[in-house]
Amino acid sequence: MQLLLDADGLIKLNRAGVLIQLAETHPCVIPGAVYDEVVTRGKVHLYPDADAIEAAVAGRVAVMPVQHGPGEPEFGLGAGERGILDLLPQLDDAFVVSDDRRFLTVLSMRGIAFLTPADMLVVLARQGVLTEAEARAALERLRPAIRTKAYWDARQDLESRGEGHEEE
Amino acid sequence: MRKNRVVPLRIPEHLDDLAALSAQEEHTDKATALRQWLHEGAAHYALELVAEGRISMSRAAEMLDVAVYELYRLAERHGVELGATDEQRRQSRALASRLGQPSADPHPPPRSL
Repeated sequence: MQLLLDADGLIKLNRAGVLIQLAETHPCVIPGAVYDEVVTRGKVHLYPDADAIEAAVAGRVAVMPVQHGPGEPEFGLGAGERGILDLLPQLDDAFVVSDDRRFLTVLSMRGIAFLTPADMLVVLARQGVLTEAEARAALERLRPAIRTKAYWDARQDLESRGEGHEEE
Repeated sequence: MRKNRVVPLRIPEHLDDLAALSAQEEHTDKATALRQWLHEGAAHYALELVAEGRISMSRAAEMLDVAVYELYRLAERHGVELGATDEQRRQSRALASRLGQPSADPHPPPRSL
């Protein structure tokens, strides 16, 4: 199982504080264009998250160069998301982590599996990568960046998972 | 930096007066004040397109020539909720249920290129 992250997935999982744990327990891949959007361009504009993501990605996430053919449809997507679409045929058993409505629409139309960052936290908790308490804390950090409904769904999923489990 | 394009534009006198006032207070020139307003309006419009799922966040950042972080900052400042639709979240949760089994054999992390 390989995870492909777009800019949205990278930024939100870093904000949740779980990007390193995710990348150390699951094979993660990003196209070079996503790296450019999030790290290179972010650093040019002095966003501190760009430095944090650069450090988290280094040695943990495969950054793969992708050539996007001229004249190919863009579907309202940026270079990073188009890079993911170009990479997907090369990867076995891969799914995408993103919360970008436009990108998810294109993925859904193509039958490509995806997880939102909030649901990624739920999966990490269910797999034991994060404790209940860590997952809930991560969800709280993510809360300002996601839809209210997404927050409550994830919280409900974390709590239902926690029933009968020992708390931290 | 993107190339600029000269666009002849007719604007109402009252906006021209307001731009002059803004320029005076911001210690800049009127054209710069108008460009700032134009950019703010464009950013707000791009966020609407993102929220409606017509373009992605990355595409919006490309079109505005800003870092994608700037759009998240604007969305939070203006209280614009961005993210998956209800149906997309349903699909995501279904996958989460399938993947949420204890991982007995975690994959080793790949190397950066």
